[in-house]
Amino acid sequence: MRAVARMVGTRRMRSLGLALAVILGGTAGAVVPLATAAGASGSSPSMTLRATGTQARVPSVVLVARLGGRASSPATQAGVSVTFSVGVDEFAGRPRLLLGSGTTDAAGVARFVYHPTWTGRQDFVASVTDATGTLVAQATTTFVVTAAVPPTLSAEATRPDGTLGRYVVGVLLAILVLLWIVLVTVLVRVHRVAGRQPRQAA
Amino acid sequence: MSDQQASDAARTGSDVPVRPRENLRTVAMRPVLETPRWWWPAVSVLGAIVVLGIVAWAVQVADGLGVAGYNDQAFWAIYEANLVAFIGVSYGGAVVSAILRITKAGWRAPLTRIAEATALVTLPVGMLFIVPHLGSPQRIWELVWPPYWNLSSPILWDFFAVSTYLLATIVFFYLPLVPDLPIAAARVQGREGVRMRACRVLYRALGGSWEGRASQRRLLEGAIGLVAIMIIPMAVSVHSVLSFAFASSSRAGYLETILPVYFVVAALYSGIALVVVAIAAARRLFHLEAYIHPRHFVRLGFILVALGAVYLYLTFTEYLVDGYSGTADLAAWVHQVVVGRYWIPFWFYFLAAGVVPLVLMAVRRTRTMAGVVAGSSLVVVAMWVKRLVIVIPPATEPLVRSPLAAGGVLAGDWGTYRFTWVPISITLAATAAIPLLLLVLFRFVPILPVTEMEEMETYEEEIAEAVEITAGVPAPGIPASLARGAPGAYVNRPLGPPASAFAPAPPLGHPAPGGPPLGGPIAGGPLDGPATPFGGGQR
Amino acid sequence: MRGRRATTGRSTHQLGASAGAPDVPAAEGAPTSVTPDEADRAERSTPVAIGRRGFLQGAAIGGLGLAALGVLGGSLEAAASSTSASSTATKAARQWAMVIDLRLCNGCKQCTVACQTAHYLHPDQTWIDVFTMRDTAGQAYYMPRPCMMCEDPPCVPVCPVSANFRTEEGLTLVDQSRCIGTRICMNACPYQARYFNWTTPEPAPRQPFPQEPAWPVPQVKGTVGKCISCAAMLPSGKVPECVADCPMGVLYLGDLASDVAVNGMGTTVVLSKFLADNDAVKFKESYGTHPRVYYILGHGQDLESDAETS
Repeated sequence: MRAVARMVGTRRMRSLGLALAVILGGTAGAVVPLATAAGASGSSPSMTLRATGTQARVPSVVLVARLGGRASSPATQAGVSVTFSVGVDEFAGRPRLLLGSGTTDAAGVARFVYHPTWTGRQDFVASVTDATGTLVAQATTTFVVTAAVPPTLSAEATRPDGTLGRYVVGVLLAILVLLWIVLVTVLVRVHRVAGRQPRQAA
Repeated sequence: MSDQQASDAARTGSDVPVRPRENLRTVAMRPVLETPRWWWPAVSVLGAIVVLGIVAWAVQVADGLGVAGYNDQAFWAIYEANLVAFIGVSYGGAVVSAILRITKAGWRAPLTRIAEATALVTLPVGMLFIVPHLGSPQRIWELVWPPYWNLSSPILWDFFAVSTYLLATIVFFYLPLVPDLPIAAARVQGREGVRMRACRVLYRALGGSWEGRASQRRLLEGAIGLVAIMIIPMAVSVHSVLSFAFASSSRAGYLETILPVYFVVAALYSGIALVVVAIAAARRLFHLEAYIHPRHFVRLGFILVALGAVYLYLTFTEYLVDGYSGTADLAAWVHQVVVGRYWIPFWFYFLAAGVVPLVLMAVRRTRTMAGVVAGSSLVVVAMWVKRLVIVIPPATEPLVRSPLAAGGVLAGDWGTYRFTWVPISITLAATAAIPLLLLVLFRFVPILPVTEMEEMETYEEEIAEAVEITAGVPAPGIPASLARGAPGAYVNRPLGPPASAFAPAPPLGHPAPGGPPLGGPIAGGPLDGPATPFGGGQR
Repeated sequence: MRGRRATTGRSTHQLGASAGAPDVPAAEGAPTSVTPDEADRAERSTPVAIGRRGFLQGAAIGGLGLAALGVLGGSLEAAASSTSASSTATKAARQWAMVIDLRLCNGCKQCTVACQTAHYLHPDQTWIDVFTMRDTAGQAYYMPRPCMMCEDPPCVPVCPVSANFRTEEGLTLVDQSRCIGTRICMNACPYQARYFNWTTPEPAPRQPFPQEPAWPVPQVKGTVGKCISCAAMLPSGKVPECVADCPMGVLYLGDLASDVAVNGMGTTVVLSKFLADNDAVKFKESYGTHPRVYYILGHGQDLESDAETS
């Protein structure tokens, strides 16, 4: 299990002294401790990482973002809204899908339980913005999802008459073949009796 | 002539009394043996029209179906209507020949060859409309390439059904022809010319060893009976499957459970009408007045109006129910057809193929050969127009909720469809191809079913003799207007009780054009019920 | 019959194949366990690839059997084998869908233009068409209409030569090298989403993809053309031209399997949530076609009864 959390700092973020980590845990039915390392950049504060998991009955990825840092106090770390998103690989440009958000507790930890709908390597992003919408902190991590929630929308339509139709076609074909056999037989028999002409040449 | 008669006698078998029937045989073979003055000009003109159609089709192949006035709204139009109409008119053969044969309507005998020949030529002509109908006719082989088959497709089953029906039509044309072939061969004996030689080869190949032996006749009669029964459900299936091609959609006007019945009845109706026209033309052109009588037309006229009435009824129920439902698309479609942009063709159908034939047959003054032929000609045209009314409006109807009644995206009288010279030429060519092929066909086969008529004649003769002996009643007077110049063979059904059926025999076997107005009962009602003794002149 | 759905015995069989033995790559340390509850859930959502297409396959192979053997037994046997083949087939990773947010559409028809430019179409071939509609309040609104990529497409089973087919990824495509131009699919489509090359098509320069059902450029005269959802571009992650060019972000390309959708502006949404939150509807659902195009309606709009006005 590989999980990488990376700290991406901006100048503003640094000035705020915020740090954010994303911790990924998973998955279905089992708590799998995940330990990842986070690197702080520049003047950012130190990071702590914690592995979490859930007992959820559906495949889950637990995203845990921890704000930390020198300049921050527990008072400022609490109540910060962290949004979580994932990069969608199947579309060019890997647009980010907003998963949801969590609010940090007094320890500066925001949790989000994500039920992945596709498997494979996924890039998660946690970000914090200020009141004006400006990004103040962001962190990404990569995680290989091995089990996904079965899709709910792609049930194929079925027709109750599909099987029936097959037999109808079979019967009709049999009738068709029979008709041809009868007609050709009639033609051949009559022609054999009437048309063959050995003696009565004109 | 005496050796000729002897050979005829040998062929007809020993159990049937042999009488000279030169007149019938002469008349039946006249189109083969003699070339009328009008023949070559007629064939030339018809051939020129066919060539025009082929040229038009070539243009269409080069430029695409767009030159035929089609577009994405009017994706089906005249070719599909023609496909339905031309295959439909081939049903006349099935009705006259098969249904009347099964019901033992003896009067049908002189008509069967012409009716079957009409079916034989109209069906391939109708099938040929698949070719201009297709956008990529060069790939038509895919229809016979089983790996590509999609057996859930109505069109593939159309193809299957029509092909099978074509085979059955060919068989059904061939079987009754077999006993006539030696008779025809005797007539072309010793004549010069390429065509005569071709005839000889043909007759020999197809019926050269027919001797009329009892075993041969049993086999042939069994075969004809079997195919006559088979061909009726096959005819029904062909137009049912044709209608499925339309009905397998969600379009108002196509998605109708009534459609298969509607198509089948329309086909029978127009088929009878075309047979009437063909028989009238053949009677006139090949001088068959001695054998095809006005009352034949009147009887066919009754079948015609019966089918016409059923069709009118189906039309009424279809539009009534759909219009009544108030479902937006159905109501809009009915509105468009009945009072909207298609009202002229719809009401033309209503008058020409709905009302007029009924009136013609209801009024005694018009219940004549001329009336029936005129009515049938109208029906043939009007039923073609009706097919356009069936095919085009639902196709051109916009499906994303468009207020059809308020105009929508439909533009002209036929919605978005535009008639251009290309499909009109091709349609004309197909129309011309039918008489052309018939003219050619009757250069090779006897135009009347000689053997069948002779057998019928013999049978009736026996009955008539029996009548004469037991009753000794002379012939009742026949109104001249109803029995113009015709002896009484083939008039009544052998089903009737002998004593009620026949007037004393005319000189059977020697019917002469313009002969004395003798004969059996004339048309007193549909299929001439067996109620009127001794000729039934008194209605 | 239409619109009814039934679970056949085969569905459970197929479930066993797809849910019981997941073919996802097993990653170390991430055990996968499927609880009974999940299995139940999977059963409900696992596809059964029969319906019209299955019918078609059975029919086509049945036809083969007939030709080869000329007997009924052969065709039915073949039909049966095709049934088992379709039930064991694994579903593709992508299940393409589209979302059209009518609240944002301003009727600029940029999508139509982009589509026609990319596929070198005649102006009358509006593979994605924009209808001007009028709601019950008399307000005009616009309704783009691509191919609905139905799960039970009416156009597929009617083709006599099997030129229509539906891909594993849920796209209905036309093989223009097979199409003979009967146009019965145009008759069958309730959305009028099919077009015909009535005349010589627009010429096209050399294309990045070969002329194939997934990229029928240039078009072929005398064959049917329709929206392909730019099938050839999807594997590389590119959204269809209409989606990419919509200046309002109306059109979303979605993947039902991964439950995400993206529009041309990069807005990415959780598909099922987006649809549920916005009360998305399908067009003409009563026709039993099960479209894979979802419409998000504005206030007072109803695609089934609103009239087109242009």
